[in-house]
Amino acid sequence: MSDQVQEQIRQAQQGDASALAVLLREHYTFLYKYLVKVTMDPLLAEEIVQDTMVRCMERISTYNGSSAFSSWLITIATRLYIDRKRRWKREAEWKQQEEQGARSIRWRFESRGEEWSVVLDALSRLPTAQRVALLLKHYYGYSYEEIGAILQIPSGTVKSRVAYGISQMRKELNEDGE
Amino acid sequence: MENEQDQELFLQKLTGELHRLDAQYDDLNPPSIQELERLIASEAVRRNRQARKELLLFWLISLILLSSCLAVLSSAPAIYWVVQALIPVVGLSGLAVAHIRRRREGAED
Repeated sequence: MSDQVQEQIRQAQQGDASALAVLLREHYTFLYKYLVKVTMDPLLAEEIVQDTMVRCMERISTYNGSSAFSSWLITIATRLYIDRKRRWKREAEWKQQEEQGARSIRWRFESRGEEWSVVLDALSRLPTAQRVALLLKHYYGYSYEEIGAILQIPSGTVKSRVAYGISQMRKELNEDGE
Repeated sequence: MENEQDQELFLQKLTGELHRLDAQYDDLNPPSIQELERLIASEAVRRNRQARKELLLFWLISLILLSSCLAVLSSAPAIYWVVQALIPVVGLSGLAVAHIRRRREGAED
């Protein structure tokens, strides 16, 4: 973490609203991109980014610097997403929303003349728990222990979710002839 | 060995596609500093109001509970002690059920 970010965090913790605003703005795109990959739904990602920003405003004083600020935001955002999914009682509606989200990303690719990827398609069909674990491990480079701390589950469970996620995606891609 | 290589290739491909997905949102416009400052100010006001409301509610409920406890203790001490014994049992059982349910939901995911 750079000295500048540390200084901004210190000022924000002392109640400097401008420092907090700069800090949030600098991490906005990073957080949004993370949540698009986790939710595979740009609209839902935007909602959760806003919820995360509000939660960060409430809890900035509790941030102790034991992990990177971006990791702290990832932890808050992931837990907010999991809580929201837990509250969403009807799985069918949730699935429908996820499919709409993936369609909207696909449309974004195609509207820019880019080819939609079967790999991303398979990722969007992966159960949320496996998708989050796989992303955190192989895209963001966290260890199993760190992911366990983020998701509040044992590292062994993380390991099995990552392994299941990879095998499920590879199976799907093999069936598609990729 | 071959499987490991295949997996490595798959992960490289996945990472490449995720970079491509990230690039779709490179032109994202985050809210301005002023907008965020306004949001921070309005959130602070909302939190203060909520904290005041919660404190008031806490005092009100405490007062009701305390006066009911004193009333029961003076009129029917036996009932008072039964209730005192039941509260931790019910509380701990509730926590255990919630914990088991959460673990089960996690496993289903």
